[in-house]
Amino acid sequence: MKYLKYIICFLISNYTIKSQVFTEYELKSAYLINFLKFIEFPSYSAQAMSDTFFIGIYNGDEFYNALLEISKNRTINNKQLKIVNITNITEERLKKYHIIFIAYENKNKLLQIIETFSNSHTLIIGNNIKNFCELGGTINFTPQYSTKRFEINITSAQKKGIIISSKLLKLAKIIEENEIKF
Amino acid sequence: MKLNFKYNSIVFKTITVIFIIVLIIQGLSTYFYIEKTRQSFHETAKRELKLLGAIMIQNLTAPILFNDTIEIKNLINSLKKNPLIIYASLLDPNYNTIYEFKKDEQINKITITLSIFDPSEERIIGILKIHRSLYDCQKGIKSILKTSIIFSIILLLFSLVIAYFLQNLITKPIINFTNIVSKISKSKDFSLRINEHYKDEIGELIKRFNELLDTIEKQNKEIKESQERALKLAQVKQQFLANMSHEIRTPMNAIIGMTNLLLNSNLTSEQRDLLTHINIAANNLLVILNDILEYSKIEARKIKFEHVRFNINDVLDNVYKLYEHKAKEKGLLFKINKDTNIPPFLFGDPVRLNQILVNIISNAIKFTEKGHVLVDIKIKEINTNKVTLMFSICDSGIGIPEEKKEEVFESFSQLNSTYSKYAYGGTGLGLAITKQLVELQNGKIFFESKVNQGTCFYVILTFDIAEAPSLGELIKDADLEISLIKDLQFRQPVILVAEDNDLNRKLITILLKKQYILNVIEAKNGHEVINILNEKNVDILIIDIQMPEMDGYETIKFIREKFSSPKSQIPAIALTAFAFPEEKEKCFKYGFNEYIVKPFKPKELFILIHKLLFRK
Repeated sequence: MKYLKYIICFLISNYTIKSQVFTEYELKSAYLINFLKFIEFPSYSAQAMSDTFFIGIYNGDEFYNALLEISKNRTINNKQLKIVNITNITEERLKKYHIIFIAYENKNKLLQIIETFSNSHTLIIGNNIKNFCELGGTINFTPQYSTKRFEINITSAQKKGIIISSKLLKLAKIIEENEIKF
Repeated sequence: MKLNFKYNSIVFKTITVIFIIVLIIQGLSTYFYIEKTRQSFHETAKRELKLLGAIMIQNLTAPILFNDTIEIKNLINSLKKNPLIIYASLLDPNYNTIYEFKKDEQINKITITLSIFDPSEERIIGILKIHRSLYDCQKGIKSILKTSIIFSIILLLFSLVIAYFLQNLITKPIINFTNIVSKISKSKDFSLRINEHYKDEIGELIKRFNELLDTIEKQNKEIKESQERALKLAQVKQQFLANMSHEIRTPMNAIIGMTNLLLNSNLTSEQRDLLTHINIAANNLLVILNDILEYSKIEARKIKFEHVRFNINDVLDNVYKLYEHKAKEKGLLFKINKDTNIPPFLFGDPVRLNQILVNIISNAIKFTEKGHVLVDIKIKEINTNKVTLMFSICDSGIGIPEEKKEEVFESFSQLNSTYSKYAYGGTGLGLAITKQLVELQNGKIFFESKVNQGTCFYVILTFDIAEAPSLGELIKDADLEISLIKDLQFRQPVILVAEDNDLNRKLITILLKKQYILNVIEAKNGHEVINILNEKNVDILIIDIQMPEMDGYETIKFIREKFSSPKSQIPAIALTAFAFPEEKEKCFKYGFNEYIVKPFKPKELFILIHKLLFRK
């Protein structure tokens, strides 16, 4: 019995060490879920009324896979998580989504997408896409080793009626509206 | 140090007790105050720390969720600015340290460990640990302690002052009380009272003590009164005895004197026999009288012992002669055996020795019906100038019953007819007097006795050994009586006899005339003496002390003071019935030259007359 205790300890510690090694995909997937915790959608919106969080992944199968893995059996504020791999970004139903994560896209296409979702309450998040926020994206992951993990375009969020918690803002590089350059 | 309060003054005790009480109260109150302060300080500190932790958690949630180590560092490091926070760390749910900082380790601290909760998912995302130093608390307590100690010292000093005054309240009355008591015990003045008025226990003590003094004073008064009464009673008794002895001796003098005169005249044998009986009875009465007087003298401690040279053989001969006849009458063997080594001449009181022996021997003969009375004198101890003799007087008489042995030497005790078929006369004073006489001379007296077998009395007395008198002295003694009568007959002095009692006056005149001393003038009182002296020349005055109108003292005083020489210098003999020494002294004080106690033997009177006439 005495040894059992040590064996259990060993097994647990082994597991924890293993679980601490995350891939970029896993990390960012986790961040995507975490964003939901610091964001408030307008109360009249479909997003606020939905009992499931919809997260759409665009152009990112690795992210999709990682997210699927992470979101298993998880609820955020008692809401289920639904991860969707987006193939057609123009679908109307996507406007009810809480987050659409764009793993990569060229500038023109991106502008188009942003434009599409400009009057929706969907949070558009980019994966380290250059000038993503300046172009009107709401949140963009910054490159590795940046002082801030991500940047946030508050104006974009405001336009969408999304309230971002100051706690999140504190961790982000804030991109002002006037900084947006075309 | 062990405090033994028994040997300390009340002052010390009071002050010590108050000091200790104040010390305990102050110590306890300081302790509780500090403890309370410390507790409230800790509580405040913990509350503040919790609040701080809560804020930290609020701020840390997002950085943890986004692995923002820089922000985490910044947040944790922000605690560093607070000098009291000595340690802070953030751990992941598996207790792996994410970030921590540590200042110098301190023992006195409070710690909190808070779980950082992700409210959205209801899971722990991190653990925050903060250690807060209690340095400020210690500092605060130290300052309180410092103040408290200073305050305590002030309070103790103050309490000492109060204690001093307080003990004064208690001890001052006690000291006053003690002073007065010692004054009373020194002065023995029990009329003193303590006039301090207190309404406390001391007051009660003083009240009781005053009551005690009242009692003592009352008792003293009573004792003094009863003492005075007893003294007065004793004086009355003495006076009564003296009076009685006078009253009895005066007629006795006449009886014995006249009887003696009659016995010397021509009588029929029947008359002579009757007179002899009268003589014996009178002499017995005199013995009893003497016993009573002797006893009263001893009781009054007025007895004095002579220290003169005497021949013990004379004493023993006298005693033997005294009882020889009586013993023979009763058919008893009466013998006196003496150790031949006993020095014949001793210094002491022969009269008392005689008295002692006579008392015991007379008892022995009295209580012995048949058999013997044997007197034995042996040396118990001897050295060059002292000899201790043991006189044993053994009889074969009725003996002393066991239960009576203790009473033998008591006054007025005598065997009554319960123990003997005969009743024995006497005062019952003989042995009591004997015992006193022996013991007053530092001797011992004791006895052994068996009923119906006999009694042995033992007397142990110590005498100084004396030189034998010269031959001249011996001859003088033997020839004294004959020669002095002849002297008187030759001289034919004029003798004035003053005595109110006709019988006694007559007796003296007859005594003198019988020896052919014919110039005798009689007087009945002092006035007559003075009248006679105014007219005639007188050689010797014989004056009775107790006379009506003008007594002996007044008479001689008048003669010595008012008459001119040579009449004022006429030798005078006081005639008295009082046998007390102070009486003798009084006679000499008033001017008498000699003193003779009634009843006296003719020879005694002749010796005195001779002495006064031929003293030059």
